[in-house]
Amino acid sequence: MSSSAAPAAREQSRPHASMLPAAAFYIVFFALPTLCLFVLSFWTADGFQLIPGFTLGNYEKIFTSPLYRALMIRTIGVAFVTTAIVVPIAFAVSFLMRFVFERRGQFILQMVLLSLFSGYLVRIYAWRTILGKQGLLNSTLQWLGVIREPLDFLIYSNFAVVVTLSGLLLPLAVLPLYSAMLNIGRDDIEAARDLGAGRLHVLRTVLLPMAMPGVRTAFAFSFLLSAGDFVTPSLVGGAQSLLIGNIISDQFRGIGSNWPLGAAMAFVVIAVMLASYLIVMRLIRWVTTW
Amino acid sequence: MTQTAVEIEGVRKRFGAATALEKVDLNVGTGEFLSLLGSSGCGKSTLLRIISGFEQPTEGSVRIHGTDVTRQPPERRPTNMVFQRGALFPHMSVRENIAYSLKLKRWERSRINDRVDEMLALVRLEGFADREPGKLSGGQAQRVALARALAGEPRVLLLDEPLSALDLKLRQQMQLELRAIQKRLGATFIFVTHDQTEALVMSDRIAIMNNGRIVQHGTPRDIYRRPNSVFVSDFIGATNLLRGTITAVEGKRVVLRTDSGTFHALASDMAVKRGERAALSVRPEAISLRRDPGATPEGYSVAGLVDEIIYQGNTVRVGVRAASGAAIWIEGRGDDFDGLSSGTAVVLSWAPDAAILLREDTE
Repeated sequence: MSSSAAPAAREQSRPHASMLPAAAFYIVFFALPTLCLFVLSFWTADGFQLIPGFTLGNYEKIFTSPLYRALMIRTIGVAFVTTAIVVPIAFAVSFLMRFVFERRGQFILQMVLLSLFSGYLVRIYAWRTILGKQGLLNSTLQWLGVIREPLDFLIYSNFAVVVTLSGLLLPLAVLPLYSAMLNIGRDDIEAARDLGAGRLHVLRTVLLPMAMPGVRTAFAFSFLLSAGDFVTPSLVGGAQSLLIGNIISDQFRGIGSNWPLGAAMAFVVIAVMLASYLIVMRLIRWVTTW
Repeated sequence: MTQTAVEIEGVRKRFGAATALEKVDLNVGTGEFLSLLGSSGCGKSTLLRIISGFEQPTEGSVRIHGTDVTRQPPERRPTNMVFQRGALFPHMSVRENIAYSLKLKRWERSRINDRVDEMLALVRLEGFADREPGKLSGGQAQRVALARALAGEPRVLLLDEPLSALDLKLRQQMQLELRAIQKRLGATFIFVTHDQTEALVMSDRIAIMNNGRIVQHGTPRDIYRRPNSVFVSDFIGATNLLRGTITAVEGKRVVLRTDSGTFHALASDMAVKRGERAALSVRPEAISLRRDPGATPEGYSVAGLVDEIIYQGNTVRVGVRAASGAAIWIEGRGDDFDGLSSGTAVVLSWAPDAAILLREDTE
């Protein structure tokens, strides 16, 4: 009968002088390095020597090379599929935590947080033991007699990359969505139903728009992090599932590295992801207005 | 009562082992303003939620204008609800909030706009159409919630303590406004409240609930004047209860012996026996106070000493301690009690029909 959402909590907070330290931190550790990288993307490299200048050659190389283009498309594809899996599941989990499990929702939240305590690499390796050729999934299916030979698409494939990334990112997507759900009252849902909305319509016109701040963050987390990841594809992906992140990281270390080209690639990725993000947000807005 | 709007028949509701409603029967007439009154946990909100469709009764049925809606989900019922917190959609303007149900009914845009304007005029919020709900005051938000609930012309409007979050002045003003709107529209309102004054002021009829049952229903006047139980007489308005044992019954005349003395009363329509426990309810405003012990009506008076005098502005409450130690409260206009002070010996008396005999609640 009670609901915790106070109207004040719904009000947008305003920028404030107390945000100055955060702003300073942001400028020194994010804006400036990014700017440096941006400048670098117009330079050239000769071996380990960086040569200042202004050339669009790096960008030209990226857009004309079929390899880079294919990698870019695959990266965006993997990121989209991962996000399309993660965000709806996280949304459903958050909804259940908020409206079905209620008080026990806090306990589930602790569990979600706990899963983040185990390291990123540990969790990738955990997925390897599940998806591997002699892994948990294959041996269980064989034992059950469902399959005779191990399924080889389970590991070292795009499938493995998507599953592993989804597993890694799900807890991260649950956090903002659950927190957004806390601002939705049971009576908000009931009011919509009382006024004649069926369940699907409540989702579209009330739940989704009201949880939008959380959806935005969850989308950004899972889309941007999966598009930028290069550890997962190198550990569970096959030769055919390298992502742009792998190539970018190659440009910054070891033999054959080329910082300016890497920087240019990073900016193309940033631009493409930003554009994708804006398109998806517009799409959601279009779905929720009626 | 012309036609029945809502018929509730044998509705029982259990939540696990706990029983929230115990066999409730209630009819609400078309155009009637009915209040469900009771303290928290009495089942009034559960009953409202069963009418709206948010809860399913464990047993029994709900009919609205003759149609059985017991198994219908809330979105299919011809009822709309005003929630305690308003529950306006924060991401929609006032106009979009009010238009919500109309859009679902696929009304034409121009018709929706006209209807929204009409509703805003009804709740006196013209010019607020483009406001965000977050920028409304509590009273304005509840008016918008009312407009939103009424926009789709529900056959029954349900109100779940919509005024409880407002401060007293605004609440009193909104009570009258709500009542006026209901009269103007001739709509059926079912109003849940724990505030007895609110129920008395607004309702055509009040159903008082306790422990999941309707213990009495009737017009505000009936309930105030003729409570049928100690619970009701205590719950509605303030009253003095003189508890004791019946020592004599002569026809309708009953003699009740209490610690504070022996009193006479009329057992209007209840059968009483000698030796039964009973209580006499006398309203504070029905008692008159005199300082001289003179001729006091035997059986309708009690002597005592003034204990407390509480000045309330237009009225004054005086607490009198009877010889037995029982406190009896009386209330009157300010100047009735001039010159009275703590310790003054007084005699309290009342008209024979002011004392209502009630059987003690068996619980």
